[in-house]
Formats: sequence, C-alpha cells, structure tokens
Amino acid sequence: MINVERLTKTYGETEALRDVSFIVPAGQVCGYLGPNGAGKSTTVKILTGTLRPTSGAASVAGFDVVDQPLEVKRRIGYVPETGTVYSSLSANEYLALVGALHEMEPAEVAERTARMLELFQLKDAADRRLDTLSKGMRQKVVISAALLHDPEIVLFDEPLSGLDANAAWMIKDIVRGLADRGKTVLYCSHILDVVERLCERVIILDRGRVVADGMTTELLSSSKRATLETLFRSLTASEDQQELVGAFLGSFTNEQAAKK
Amino acid sequence: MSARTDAPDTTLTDRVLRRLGVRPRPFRALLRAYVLMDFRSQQFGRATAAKPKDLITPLFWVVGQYLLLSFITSAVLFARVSAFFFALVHLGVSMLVIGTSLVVEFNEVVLDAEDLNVVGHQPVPLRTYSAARLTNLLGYVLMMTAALNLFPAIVGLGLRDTGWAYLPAYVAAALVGNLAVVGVLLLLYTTLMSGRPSDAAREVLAWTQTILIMIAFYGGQLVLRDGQDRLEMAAYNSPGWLEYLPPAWLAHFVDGASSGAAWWIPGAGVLFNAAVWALVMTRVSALYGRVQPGGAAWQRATLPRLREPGALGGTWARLLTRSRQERAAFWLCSTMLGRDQDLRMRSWPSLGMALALVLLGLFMGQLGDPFVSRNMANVVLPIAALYLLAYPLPAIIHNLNFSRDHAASWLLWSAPVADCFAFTEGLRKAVTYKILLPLVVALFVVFALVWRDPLHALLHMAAGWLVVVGAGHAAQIGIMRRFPFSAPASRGAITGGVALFGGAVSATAMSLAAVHYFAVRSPAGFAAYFAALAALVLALRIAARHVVQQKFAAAESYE
Repeated sequence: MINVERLTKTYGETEALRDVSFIVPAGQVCGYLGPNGAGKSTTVKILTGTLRPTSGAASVAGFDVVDQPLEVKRRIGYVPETGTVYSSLSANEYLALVGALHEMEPAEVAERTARMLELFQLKDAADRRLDTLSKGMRQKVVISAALLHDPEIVLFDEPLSGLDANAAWMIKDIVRGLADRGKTVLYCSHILDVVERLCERVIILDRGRVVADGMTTELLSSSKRATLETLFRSLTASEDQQELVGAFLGSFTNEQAAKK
Repeated sequence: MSARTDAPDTTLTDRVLRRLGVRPRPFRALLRAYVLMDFRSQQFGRATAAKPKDLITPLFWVVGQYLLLSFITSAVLFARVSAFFFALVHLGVSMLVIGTSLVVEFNEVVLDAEDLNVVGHQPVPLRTYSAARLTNLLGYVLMMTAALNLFPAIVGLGLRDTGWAYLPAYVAAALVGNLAVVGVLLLLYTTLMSGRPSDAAREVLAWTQTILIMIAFYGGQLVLRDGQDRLEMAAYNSPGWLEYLPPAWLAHFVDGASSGAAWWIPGAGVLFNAAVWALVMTRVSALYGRVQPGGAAWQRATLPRLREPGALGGTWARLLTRSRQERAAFWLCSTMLGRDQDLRMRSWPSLGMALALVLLGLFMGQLGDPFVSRNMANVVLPIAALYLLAYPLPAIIHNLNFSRDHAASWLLWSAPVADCFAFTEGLRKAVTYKILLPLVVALFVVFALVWRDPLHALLHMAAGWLVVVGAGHAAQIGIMRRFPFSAPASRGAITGGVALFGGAVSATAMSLAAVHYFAVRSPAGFAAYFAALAALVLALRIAARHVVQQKFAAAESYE
C-alpha cells in the first residue's frame, strides 16, 4: 500500500507539490497523471526515498519514506522516467549488480535474470554492452531490474518509453498480472489511452496539486467525458490553448495554399 | 519550403568566420551555449552536496586555485632570483599546468561525443561545431593563463633587473607559450586519435599523460630539493639543458625586453601558433566527423560472461569484501576503472609522482636504504616516494564521483544500501587493491633489488601500505559524500574539487615522512612509529565510518 498525506515539496520559490494526499491499496493499478512539471516524478522520487519532502508524510508498505527509507527501498521496484543504465555493463552484469544491491542470493539472481531475459527476448544480447542495445532493449533491462527482487510495490514512470508494440503489450499484461497478485502499482504516463485501459483508478495532478482522484470509470461518467484524454485536457489545459496553437500555426507558410 | 539560410555577412567577424568555413549564426549560438554551461555548471555543487545558493562554479574554483598558486610562487621567488629565472619558473609552471589540465579534462574541453547527441541532428556543419568548441577552449585557456600569470606579471615589475617593458613582454610570452602548449597537445592527441582505433589510442594518451606528469615532476623535484641557498644558486647557475626548453626561450625574451631584445621570439611564436591552431581546427573537425552519437561503435560490444551467473566478482572480490553490497561496490568500481577510458585517463597520472621519485633516485644514485644510510640526500627520495603513495587515493577516489553515465546513478540512490560505509569500503578497496597494491609490490621489488635487503624493503613498504590505507580512509572522510559515478564530468570540476584536499593529505603525509626519517634510525623507533601509524589508520577508519554515514544521510537525491 502507498499512503501519501499532505505531501509538499518546494525547490526554493518553486512549489513542485502542494498538499498532495492519496492512498493506493494493495492490488490496485493507479494511474498518476499530469502535464509536464506537474510533480509526478517528484512524488515518485519521494516515494522511492531518494528525495525528502518539505512537509507532509508518505509511507510505502507501511514504512515511512523519510524515517525508514531502507525498508521502503527493499520493497519497491522502480522504473525511472530516464531509464538510464551504466552503459559499459552488460544486461547480465547490470541485473547481477541490482541483485547484489538487494542482497539476493546469486543463484536466485541467476534464475530470475534468465527468466526475465527470456521473456524479453534478450538472451542473445545478455552479454553485450548496454550502450550497444537499442533504447527499447535497454528499457526492458530497466524493467527487469525493477522486478528482479519481487517487489511489493512497483513505481512505473513512463515504462513504455521506447518499447515496440509487442513489448508494450507484454508490459501491460505484466502490470495487470502484478496487481492480480496483490502488488501495488503506481503508473505514471502521458499515454492516456493506455492508462485508461490499464488503470482502474487515476489521480490527476496539475501544478503540484491533485485535481482529480477516483476510479477511472466513475471519473469519466461523473465528468461526462468520453475519454480520459478529454477529461485530462479539461482539467489541465489552459483555456486559450487552441487560440495559441492557431496563432503559432499562422507563423508557418501554407504550402497547400501556395501550390493552389 | 521554408529552409533557412544564414543571413548575409554584416560584420568583419562574420566574413572571417565564413572564410574559415564556419557559419556565423550557429557558431555564435553554440559558443554562447558552451559559455553559459561553463558558468552555470552545477556539477560541482552536486558532487559536494552544496546547496544551490552556496554554489561556486568549478571554473571559479580553478581560477582561484591558480591565482593562489601564482601568488605563492611570486612571493617565494621575489627578490631572490633574477628576472630570467623568475619568468622561467612562472612561464614553465603556467605552461605545464595548462598542458596537464587540458590532458586531464580532454574529453570535457575538446572532444565531447555527447555534443553530437545533443546537436548532431541540427543542420550545422562539423567545422562550425569544432570552431565553437575550440573558441570556447581558447577562452578557457586565456582565463587560466590570466589566473596563472597575473601576479608574476605585476610582481615581476618590482624586480631589480626589470623595466617597464617587462609587463608587455611577460604577457606576450605567457600567451604565446600557453597557446602553443595547448595547440601542440591538441595536435598530438587528435593525430593519435584519428590514426588508431579509439581504445588503443586512448591507452596511448593515458600513458602519455602519465609520462608528462612524471617529466613535470622531475622538474618539480629540482625546486622541491632546493634547500637554504640552493634556489639562488640554481637560479644563478642554471643547468645548460634548461636552455633547450621553450619556457627558457620565452624567459630570455622577457629578461631582455627592457633592453629592446628580440621581439622576434613572440613573433615567431604567433606564427607557430597560427599554423598549429589551423592544423588543430582541421584535425578536430575530422575527428568530430568520425565520432558517432553514443560512440558505442568504438567499444567492444560483447563482454565476457559472468564467471558465476548472478554473482559479481571472483575469488578475490569475495575474499576482500565482507558483504554483498560491499562486493557490488568493489565490482562496480573495478569494472568502471577497467572500462571507462575517461576515468582511467584521469586516474593513472596520479600514480606517476611516486614512480617518478623512485626513477629519479635510481638515475641519481640516491635510492639509499633508510634503515642503513644516515645520509639525508640518499634516503629522502625512497621515503618521499613512500609517502607520495598517499596522493593517488584521494585523486582517484575523487575521480570516481564523475562519469558519463552519471544519470544511471538513480539505481544506487533507490537501492536499499544499508551500510553506506561498507559501500564506500568497496570503492576504497577496489582502488587500493586493484591499482595501489601492484604499485606497492613493484616498489618493494625495486627497493629489495637496490638495497639487497628484502626485509628492509618489506618493512619500508609495509609502512607504505599503511599510508595507502590511511589515505583511503582520509578520502572516505573528505571526498566520498555520495554514490560514485553520480556527477557529470564537467570542466574544472574534476581538477578543481580535489586539489586542496589532495594537497592537505599530501602535506600530512610528507610531515609523517619527516617523522619516518628519524624513526628508522633504530628498530625500536621504527616499531613505535609503525604502531603509531597503524593506530592513526585505525582512528581514520573509525572516523570514516561515522562521517560517511552522516554525509550519505545528508545527501538528498541523485537529481
């Protein structure tokens, strides 16, 4: 379970998060959405124990992220937005490193690594330097690393970045399967149709505040919006956005008109 | 179609740039971006966990240190030596420091493959990238030149044998000398890099750098060994070979400037620089053309399999470490030292000092057995070499903060690392056992052969080993503030951050060397000293455990 209470984070004058509160129970896939700079990654970093909140509290699996960060880190799997890896290591080495950091038995690491690499069709690339792999292949390694130690809570920050359609489909199945096994999943993404299909609940953040929180179907019906995308736009887009786009396009030469 | 073309040339600079094959607008934009990045660099703050408001950009640290260096040398030499010697020392130091700084930060200041990741897809010719990079580098060199020569240029005016012409002559000599050093080094490196596969070429560069530092240290030893009046004597009876060094040519010009001496020397220097820099421009452009985004194609793609699937490191790693996390750190550090060429280039030169002293002792016949010889001149070098082993550890451990893969450190920050001290122990042990131990063994062999007494050599190097371990713990206290490889390698941050701390550690070690000199005179004295040294190492270890835990707890985040 993830429990966030009145979480606030400021960077100097900038308020990245303000009084954010929510609870994600075990077995739920919760979409965590927001425009760029809304505070999604900040929240996730706080939940991973790598960033201290300015005020408020957050606990993961019953452990406070500030007072018991180690207990939190032992229980989470994290796929960061950047997905950067140590480029001079191989997938095998990288996963062995992750296993060692989680103090797993080497035999268990080897067994789970083999299974993950097979699932993601990375067996042939297991001993290649990570910087020689494609972005999608590296992302699969990052996802494998997040799931290697069988975490209770999984924090996905744009997990489908760089993945092909088949791999993305597989990840969506995995996410659902994890929730069915009682894992708590917080899923941050800008791909709203995926979130709509995958997450039974969504939290929408705008400028550091929660502007919507509820079961996906209920939110759509109560707001009378057909899709999550239209709901999202109604909550987070500025009113004059369409006018701004029109004005912007006006600065381009109209090739069609010129031809005519 | 609305593709842009460059605006017509409006200024002389634009026309000159076009003549050189450089597009003015992108050139200016890139240059502005590089300069802004230099001055806004936050990496030093990240590496030192400083708060944003307390940040001093790495460039200012370096400039400050160079100003301090030139102030001290000016103060030491003023009124003791002639104008020639005064100019010789300062021009030599300036050229050496700028040359080594360029070598150490080569990838940050000259050829950065990341550039093409960021701007490679933009419609900018390679020659324009190179011109912007080199102009930025030129600004960097000029700033360092100013810092290293400000005091010598002003203080030198007060020397008895100088006149008003000293100032312009000195400034001209410093500019010509430093630009020539940088130009020649660039030409050397870029020629090597384009002529061989990258890995091999960079191995060569790393050794070139080590040898350069060693050569520099030979020169430095002449100054270090200057007791009482020897500095003055050396200044007035300088060895003949000095005349063959370019700083001496420039110093002669500075010395004779008041009497209307040969201005053809800087004139020739300007022509030389123009030729060298034109060649450099061509070489760097060609190199940028060869560098592909990511640069991965240069590396060996397939790595050896793990000996035991799921486990890191072999028998040695298991024997030397106490926990899985410590082993992970040991393995990560060893692997990065083995595979990260930048890291190796930055790390190896620091080993040169101790080696240089031993070689100097061998060549000068001054590598006496301190347990036997009472002649100070005979035993200073072997003892100093021992204590100079303290320097590489802080330098290398500091280097471990930086990596091109710094963004990947999220893994370490979000991992449940229970004992941060154990993690840093893994790093320290990797550097100590993988790099320093072979050096200590090599020195033991040299001393055992030269002294014909393996026991004395063993005792000598045992003390050296304690120095190494102690310096490692000191580095844990003073340098390790966060996870390794978590700060980007930025200009000035690498050389700027460690100089003061490394200097303090080296100074402490050299003070211990003085105690060592007296302690070896009797077995009891040496035993007592050895025990005290061991106690000091133990105390440092206890302090390191405490400090590391505190610092890691205070470090907030990887971004």
